[in-house]
Amino acid sequence: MAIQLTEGYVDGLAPNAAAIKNAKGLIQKNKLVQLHQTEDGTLLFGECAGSGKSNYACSVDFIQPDKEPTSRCSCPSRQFPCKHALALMYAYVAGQTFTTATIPEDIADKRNKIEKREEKAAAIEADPTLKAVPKKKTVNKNALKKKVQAQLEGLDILEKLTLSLIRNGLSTVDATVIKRIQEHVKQMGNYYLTGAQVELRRLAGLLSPKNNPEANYTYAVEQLTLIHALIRKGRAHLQAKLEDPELALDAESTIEEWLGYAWQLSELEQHQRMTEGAELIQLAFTSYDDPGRMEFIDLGYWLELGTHHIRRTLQYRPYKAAKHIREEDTFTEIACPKPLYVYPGDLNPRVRWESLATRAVTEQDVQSIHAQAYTSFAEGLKLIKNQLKNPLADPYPALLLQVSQFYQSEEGQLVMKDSEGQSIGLTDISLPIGTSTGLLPYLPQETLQDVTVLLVFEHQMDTGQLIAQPLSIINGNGIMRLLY
Amino acid sequence: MSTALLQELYQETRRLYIAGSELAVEDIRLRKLLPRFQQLGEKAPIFKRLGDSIQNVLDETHDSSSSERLQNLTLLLSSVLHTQGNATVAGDLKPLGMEQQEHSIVPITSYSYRKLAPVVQALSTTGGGRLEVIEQAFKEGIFQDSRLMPLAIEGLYDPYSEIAELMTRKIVPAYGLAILPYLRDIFDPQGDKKEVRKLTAIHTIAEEHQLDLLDVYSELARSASEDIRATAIRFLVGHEEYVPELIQWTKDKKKNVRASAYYALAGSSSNQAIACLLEASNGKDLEYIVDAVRYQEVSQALEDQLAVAFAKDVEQAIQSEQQESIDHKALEKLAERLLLFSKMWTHSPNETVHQSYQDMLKHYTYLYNLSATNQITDWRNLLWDAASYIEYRGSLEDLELLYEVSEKDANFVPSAFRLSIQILSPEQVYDQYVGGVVSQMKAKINKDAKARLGKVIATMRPMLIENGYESFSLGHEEQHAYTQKILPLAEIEQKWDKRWLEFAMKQDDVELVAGLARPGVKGVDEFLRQKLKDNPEFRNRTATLILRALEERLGISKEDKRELMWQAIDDRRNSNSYMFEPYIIHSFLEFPVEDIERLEALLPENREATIPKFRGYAAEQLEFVIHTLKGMK
Repeated sequence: MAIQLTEGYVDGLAPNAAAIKNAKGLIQKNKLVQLHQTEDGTLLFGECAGSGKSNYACSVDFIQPDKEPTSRCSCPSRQFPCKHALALMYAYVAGQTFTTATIPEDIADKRNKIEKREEKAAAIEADPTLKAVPKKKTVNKNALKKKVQAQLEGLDILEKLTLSLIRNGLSTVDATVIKRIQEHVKQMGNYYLTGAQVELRRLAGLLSPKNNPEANYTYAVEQLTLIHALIRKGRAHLQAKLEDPELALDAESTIEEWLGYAWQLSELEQHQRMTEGAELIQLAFTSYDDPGRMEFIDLGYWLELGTHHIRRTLQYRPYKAAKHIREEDTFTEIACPKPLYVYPGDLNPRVRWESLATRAVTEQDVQSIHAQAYTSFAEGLKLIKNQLKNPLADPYPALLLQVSQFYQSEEGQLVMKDSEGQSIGLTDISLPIGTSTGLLPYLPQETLQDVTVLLVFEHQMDTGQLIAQPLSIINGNGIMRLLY
Repeated sequence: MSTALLQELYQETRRLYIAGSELAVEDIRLRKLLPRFQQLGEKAPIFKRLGDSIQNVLDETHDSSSSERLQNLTLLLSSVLHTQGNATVAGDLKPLGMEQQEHSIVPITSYSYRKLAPVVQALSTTGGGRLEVIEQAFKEGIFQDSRLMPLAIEGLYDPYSEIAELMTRKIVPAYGLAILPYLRDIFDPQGDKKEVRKLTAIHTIAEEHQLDLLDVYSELARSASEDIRATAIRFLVGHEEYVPELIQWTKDKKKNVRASAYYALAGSSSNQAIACLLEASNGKDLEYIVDAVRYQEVSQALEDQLAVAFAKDVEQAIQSEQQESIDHKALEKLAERLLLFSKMWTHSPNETVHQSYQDMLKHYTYLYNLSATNQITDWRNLLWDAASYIEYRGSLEDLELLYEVSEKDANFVPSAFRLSIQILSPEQVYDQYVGGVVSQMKAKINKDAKARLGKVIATMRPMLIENGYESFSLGHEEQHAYTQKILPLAEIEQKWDKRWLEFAMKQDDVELVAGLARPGVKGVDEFLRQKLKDNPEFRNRTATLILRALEERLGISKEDKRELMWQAIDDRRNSNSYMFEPYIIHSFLEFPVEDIERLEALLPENREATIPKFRGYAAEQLEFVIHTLKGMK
């Protein structure tokens, strides 16, 4: 049995683009000194010269055909697969000679351990009584109560700060005031208010003398009203929680996340926020830097097949750990999560999964997308505005719309119209997800007629305009991704 | 709903956020807005709520703070405004996209985020390392993805000119005919240098696909902006039908238009074109004509006639000697022209030019003195130009001439020497420059003769010893080192008289001896060995040259070389080397494995001496050698 590998598949395994480049660099410089495979074709292994005296021993194990291959390496990198393991795979794809050799002992040992673990898991599946009953999480109610009280206290401090800012006026904000805001940002962490912390950090960024605050006043005012709403709703929610003897989480609205709560999948399961058998097709993908969260965000837009739900996958990669977390990538197959966890949310709730089966996209899948789109802009916009009016809702809702034709105004503004002739202007939204309208003027007209478009919306306060940015166009040829 | 009124209120609250909410109580504009909200409030409850909120903000006796009241108002207002967003776009609209045509873009959006994002970043930011990313992506075909096309066109304007150039010549043209209509749409004929890149990209595509755009170019040449005209005119080269117009454009006021017109004319072989160029060559536009001829293949007829014009100028200069009073201004101008001309003749052999240069050298003294007396260096430069032209195409007669000139001026010795090497036998060369005992004696006492001999030796050095970078692998990394090499033995035996070697030893010039070393000359082996003893330092290149000469020329055994190297290494003076030359590393690698321990003892960590013998790269290289030798055990 020979290992089947393609360049694209290996690209997909890489944690990020730099790793691909580095791995290819190793091949170019002939750093791989030994290339072997086992006779049964389940393991690639070899040695790669590093900067030290001795070589790194690395391997890629394909023993579990239904899972991603396991890569192992003696190098100190925390990325998996590391560049050496990737180089090994690229070398294999490139057709370099891998001599047959017996499996190294340490890998055989590791395989045995995995096998035992699998056996145990299989046994549990066959006989669920074997499963160790997970300890029921006992919640220390007193501690929780204290935490809620601390949160309330934190909200008071936050309110005091923002109100004083407004009383003095944004024009008086200088470096000293920014420093004070920054100190409060730190404090919010002590009060278990990471959500508020992020929003306050955003405000500091908007008003910072470095970032031309005059240009940001509109956004700063918006940010202040948002914080006001957060304080009001947060306070009401926390007070209600204190009165609840169970101190239960609110799994219906996004308020918990606004206050800084991170849902665990098991909790979502408890609240029945979980779907079996869902199939998702990715419509768009991007990755961007969010200085407010101090994280990189990998953002995917997905349609749950057979429904009109546009879901979002959000992977947060904190700056400090970004190197060690695999950056997600464009997904071109159908994802079949087992199961799909759905976070509390608005039009486009966040989803996650722990394990995934995939299948290829069929013509039918693509065709089914059209049916899930709104044919009338008016109807779609109503939905969007309904979400936007809630200050704590996602300010960039996404929707599928059926578009009959694209236009350009004399000022160069791009416009689309529905079959009833209603128009929507297209502009890149302020979220830095990348520009996507550049390609449209180059495309043949016929690819832009009677198509389905995935759009994200934003209300611009200063102009009163509701703008939309197209992310992908679905036409007869398939999904044309304008972003990634 | 009255969106304008709501927007007005929003602007007002925004102002208060900036100025400070304390001022709200006295805000007249806000006060003026209140009755309108109250009026509308009678019909619509939302306006009533807004009106109440405004009233709260204006109420100084209210028990909550001014900022909180302002926040409450704005939060409500913002919510209402978000339901009022206007998405429509008014005005004239025309359908977007390219109309159907023969070659239209087939949108390909199949590359993944991971492949595209680095390229997008490289094309939309500034900073180092971008060119590499872009070149690599082009090589991998990632630019086929249509999403990069707008960025590639943007890239024509990239502030980093190498990227802009790559976009113009390769990446944008690679989109082929499909992108052409778009480029033409966005191309502004009245634009500046940036538009030149677009036009150049269009031209590159047209050339690749044998598309005739002459009409477009000629129209642009007539009516576009200056930069565009100058570019378009160049694209008309080789098309005789435009010669009359091109001649017209050589009269243009703008000099880059004229330069382009000359360029296009120089590519023509028609009599009119040649006549025009010749006529213009008499005037100040000579420099453009020289450039036009230098950078393309031109007809023999044009070259011949320009050579005649050149010859005339030379003759005029020489003739001035006969005149009673010399017009120095005119001569200066002449010198300028001749210098321009001389740029033209660097490549092509031409009999007329050759003769003119000979004439100049024949009148060396007169022309040289023109510089000396008038303190202009032009004539000396011209004489050097003449010598180097002749040096490459010389005959015996030329050699005589160069000998003559170099007798007067030692700076011409290198030219004469190089020519003599080309056309004389090795014995003749030696006799000419060193000769017998008498001339050698003379060289010792005569200052000029000594200077000339010095020039000869300086000229020989680069002919015998090649300088250059050599790369070699240390297993895990590639290193580059500057190194010196000597020529193969056969070449030396064929081209150089063996008396040169004896001469070099007498001169005590170790580099020359190494460069000329050959078997069969008494004392070479001993000379080199002695020199290695005197100069054992591996940090100098001399040691390498000596070892190379001994091995490659005199054929000493590996064992012998190893002995010599150990002698040199163990010498106390041979310390503080920072990097070994590749030759030395290769030689180390030929050492027997029993030397490993001895080599290990040289590593910095194994030495107690204060000055490390081999440090930095040298230590690393040595480790590599030891590692490799161990592997051979």
